[in-house]
Amino acid sequence: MTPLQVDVLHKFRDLEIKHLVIGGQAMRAR
Amino acid sequence: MDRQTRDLDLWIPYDPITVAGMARFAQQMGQDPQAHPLDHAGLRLTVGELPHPDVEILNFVAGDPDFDACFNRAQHLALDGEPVVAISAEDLLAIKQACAAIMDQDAVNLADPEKRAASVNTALKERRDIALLERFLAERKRD
Repeated sequence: MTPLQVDVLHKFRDLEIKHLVIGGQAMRAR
Repeated sequence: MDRQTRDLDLWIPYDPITVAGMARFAQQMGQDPQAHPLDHAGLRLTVGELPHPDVEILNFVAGDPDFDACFNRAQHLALDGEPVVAISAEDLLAIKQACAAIMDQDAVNLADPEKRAASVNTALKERRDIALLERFLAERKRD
């Protein structure tokens, strides 16, 4: 993942924004 | 499943708590929250440089599945070591099938030839993912 992608995920976590990873990255997740 | 991809797609609901959180997120990212339809379907907020942004945030997906039901079926996984909540393979397959069907219709019905061609390409990409997901689910069932 890019630093910007990690930053967005961290911000979502800090702000407690409920979300789901979809698309191609969801297919890569282990 | 190995699939070459770069962008991170995030699906969010549009309940009041998420809307409030997204307004603060937009401000933190230097974007005007008023410029985005946070409280109804239609949000497509990107982070990073166009035409290939790092992140795309959507509050609607093809087939209009129930967010909370998908969230309850989601898996807590890791992406390059980062913990994420990823949609289940079954739900992702349903979204991609719905998307491919919409692209098939657009490929015939849209007036703009460039948009029709783009729809054909997207439908092909979705069908590749559908084949990968179906193979993954079949292998998981066998194991």
